[in-house]
Amino acid sequence: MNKDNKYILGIETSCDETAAAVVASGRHLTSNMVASQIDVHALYGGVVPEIASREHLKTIMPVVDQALKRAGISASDLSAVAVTVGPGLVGALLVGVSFAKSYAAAIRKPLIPVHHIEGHIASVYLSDSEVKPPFLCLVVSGGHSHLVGVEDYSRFRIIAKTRDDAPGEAFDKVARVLGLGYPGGPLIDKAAQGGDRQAFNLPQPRIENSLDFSFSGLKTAAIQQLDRFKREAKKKGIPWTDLCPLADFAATFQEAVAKTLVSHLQSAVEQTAYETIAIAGGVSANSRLRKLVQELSAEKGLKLVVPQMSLCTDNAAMVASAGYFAWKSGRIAGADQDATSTLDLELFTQA
Amino acid sequence: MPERYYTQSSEETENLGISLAKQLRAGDILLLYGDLAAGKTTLTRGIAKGLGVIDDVSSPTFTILQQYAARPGGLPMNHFDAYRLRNEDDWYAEGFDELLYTDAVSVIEWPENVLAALPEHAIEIHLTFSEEGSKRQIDLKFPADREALNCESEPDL
Repeated sequence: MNKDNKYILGIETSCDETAAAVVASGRHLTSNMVASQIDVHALYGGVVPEIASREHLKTIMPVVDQALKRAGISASDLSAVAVTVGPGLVGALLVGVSFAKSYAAAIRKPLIPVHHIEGHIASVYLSDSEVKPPFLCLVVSGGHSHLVGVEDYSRFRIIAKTRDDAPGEAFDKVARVLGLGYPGGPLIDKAAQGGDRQAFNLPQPRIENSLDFSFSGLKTAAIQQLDRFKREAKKKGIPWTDLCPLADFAATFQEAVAKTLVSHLQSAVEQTAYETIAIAGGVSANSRLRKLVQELSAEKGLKLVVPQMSLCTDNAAMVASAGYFAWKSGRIAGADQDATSTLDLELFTQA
Repeated sequence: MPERYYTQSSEETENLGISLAKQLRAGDILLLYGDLAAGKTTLTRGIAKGLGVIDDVSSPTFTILQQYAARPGGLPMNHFDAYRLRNEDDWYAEGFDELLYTDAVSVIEWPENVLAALPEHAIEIHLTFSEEGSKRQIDLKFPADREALNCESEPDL
C-alpha cells in the first residue's frame, strides 16, 4: 500500500451482483470483486441465485473481505466507504446501504452515497488515466439509457434518457423469444457474428424534437417480425431459420439498436461542444456499438474512452471511483441515508 | 364476464389505461398478463397518467419494482415486473408483500411467476396482440364486488 493514496471501499448491490472493490484516489483499481467470481459456492454449499436480497445479505461480508484482502490493505487504511444508494431494486440496495452504513460507522470513516449511473460514468476514469471532465457519456445497460454531459466529476447534465425500455432490456427480451437465454446482450452479440445486418427492415425510432430514446417499438417490431417468419415457415413446413438465419436476425436487430444509440450520440455531439466522448454500462460491451462509436469519434475527430469489458457490467470499482470524487466535492451521507428505487441523477448530485 | 377492448396503437392502449385509472381506488391490485411486447408497460403508462403520477413510467424489468409518487388528489403507484422472479419465495424475500397493503395502486406485470403470493381480489388484465400486428385485444376482469369499466368500446379521450 502507498501512503499517498486515498483508498475507497466501494459497495454495489443495486441489482443482481453483490460487489465490493477498493480503488486508490479514484483512478487506480486495487481490487474488484463480484460475488459470482469468488467461491461463495464453496463457502455456503449452494448455488448463488441471480437475485433476492437475502443472497446479497449472505454474500456481502465475504465479498468485502476478499476486496480488502486482494487490495492488500486493512479496513483502517480506508479513507471512506462508498455505496450505491439508487436507482435499483430497493431491497437489494438496502442490503448494501445498511451494510456500508454500519461498516463505515464501525471503522469511523465517512460514508459516501453514490448514484448508480454516476458509478457507470466513473468506469471511464478507471479505463483512461488521463481523461477528465467535461465529456459526453452514453450510459447504456439493462436498466438504463442516458446521454449525460459530465460537466465535472460530480456534476452532471442529463441530455437524454429512455422513455420506455432500456437497450439491454430490448436485447434480453428479443434473446428470450429467440431462445438464446439470459443475459441477452452478449448472446445476441455472439449470435450476430457474420450475420447480414440488413436482413429485414426494422424501425430506428426517433422522438420528434428530443434526443430521448425509445426502444419499446423496436423490440415489438423485432418480435412481430420473428412471428411473421415463424408463421410463414409453418405454412411451408420448414424451420423459420430457413427464411432468416439466426445470425442474420440477431445481426439486424443488433444493428438497429446500435445505430439508434449512435445516431442519438451523434446528434448530441453536433449540438454540443464536447471534445471527448465515452460509453459506459453493460451494453457498452456490445461489439457492434463499440465499432460504430469508434467510427463516429474518428469521423468527428473526438477523443473516445471505452471501458474495459470487466468495468462495463455492474461492479463496485466504479462506485469506489465515483465515491472518491464525490467525497472530494464534500458529499457525505448522514445516519439517515436511505436507498431509493428511482433516483434522478441531476437532482441527487445537486443536493 | 370479462370486458373486451381493442386498441390499434400505443396511444389507444395508453388511453384505455387512463380510463381504467379513473375507476381505481387506493390499494387496488392489477395483474397484467401478456406476452413480450403485448403492451403491458404502455397500458401501465396510461394508468399512471390517469392516477396522477408525476414521473414518466419506464420499464421495471431491470429494477423489478418502480415506485411512483402522485400529485395531490392522485394515487401513488407501485409498478412491479415479476419477469425475473422465479417464484413467490423471491416475492416475499424482497418484502414486496407489504407494499400491496398500502394506499398505492399496485400494477404487477408477469404475475404468473408469483401467483401464489398475490391476493384473489385483484383486477385481471389480459393483453394479446393479433396476427396482423398492431391490433391489441385487452380483456379486463374485475372481482365480483367491483364495478366494471364500461367505457366506449373504442376508448377515445
